[in-house]
Amino acid sequence: MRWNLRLFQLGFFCVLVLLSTGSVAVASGDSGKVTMFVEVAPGFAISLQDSLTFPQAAPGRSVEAELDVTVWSNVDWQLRATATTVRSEDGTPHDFEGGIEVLDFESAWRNLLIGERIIRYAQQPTPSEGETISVPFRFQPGFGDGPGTYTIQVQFTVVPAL
Amino acid sequence: MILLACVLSGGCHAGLMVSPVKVEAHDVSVGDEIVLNLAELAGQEQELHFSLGLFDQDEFGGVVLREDPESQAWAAKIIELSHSKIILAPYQQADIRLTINRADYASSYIVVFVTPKRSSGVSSRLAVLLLLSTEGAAEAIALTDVDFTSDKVLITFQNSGSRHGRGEGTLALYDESGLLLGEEYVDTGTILPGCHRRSEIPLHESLSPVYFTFQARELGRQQYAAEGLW
Repeated sequence: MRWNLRLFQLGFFCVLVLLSTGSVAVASGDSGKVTMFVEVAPGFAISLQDSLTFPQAAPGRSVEAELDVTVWSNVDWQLRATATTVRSEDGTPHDFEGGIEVLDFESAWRNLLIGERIIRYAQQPTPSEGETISVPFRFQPGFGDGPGTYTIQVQFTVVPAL
Repeated sequence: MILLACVLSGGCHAGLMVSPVKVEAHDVSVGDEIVLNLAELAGQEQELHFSLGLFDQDEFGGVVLREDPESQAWAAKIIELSHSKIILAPYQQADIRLTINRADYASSYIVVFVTPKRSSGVSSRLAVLLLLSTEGAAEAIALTDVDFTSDKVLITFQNSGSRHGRGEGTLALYDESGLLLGEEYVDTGTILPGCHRRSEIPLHESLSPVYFTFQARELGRQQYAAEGLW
């Protein structure tokens, strides 16, 4: 996969800072050996599944779907999610009567429309191939939500742990 | 039957790397610069937007983001961004400079959000934490509570200082005869000023300690801090 390959080629978010005078070599006598100093900076990257489509749902009935998120990190991290706007087919904002929920780090369903939710709380650094998380969402329309297709804007945030 | 379809639609997704993601800078002064490196990894042009906020901490050390207008305004007084947005070509790298504009505080905890532009659907952003403190600011970490259950020890540190620090110490477990069963180094991680942080140290099932001590490391000294009986 070109994405992973590129990550690998870039040394996976490693920023190599050459210390001392900006060069690397410290001669060690006649041995010809060189001591190199490198510093790896904390960094992370994220990749998201392109889209998520829920099955049709009648008012009062809930349906679930999962969205894949991949994170690469060499420090502890958190993943959060929030939903910002709901729009109907014509692009106008819609005040959703039903609910859109996400399964948070405590395995509890949380309303995604009323604030940021923590999906993963204290994740350790990932392996080089990253860590892919399937984030479950649950959607339940109400009778106040007319038939049609709605678009919900969801934003994921990766935060380093303190 | 009413048919309803809900779509979370997204654009193409961010192959974006940012580094560093956590910057601890002590003794900062006006004019100091912090450089963030960004790299496009998905092989497509990306427009990145930058915004600021503050962050705080919950009792377990979790980051609490503050993005209200007041927090954003305060952060913008302290940090000047060299760009509000940039466009990265495929696989391009770029540096963003953050300049310290004010140093009339003991410490400030600022978050920089790097957000790839998306027209709709699923989006992502990366949060970079800046832990800034000025000359004279100091941490004051103290152990405030040690509690235990049958399978874990709960240790709480408080930072009453003016800048962030870490709570560290060594937990020692003994049996009835006083024989040392084991020791465990404890590091709570960063504690922001005015915050307390609790750590849970799970105990191995094979251990049935009846006595423990905890020595907190403060200012480089080992201080006897707590003891207890199971």
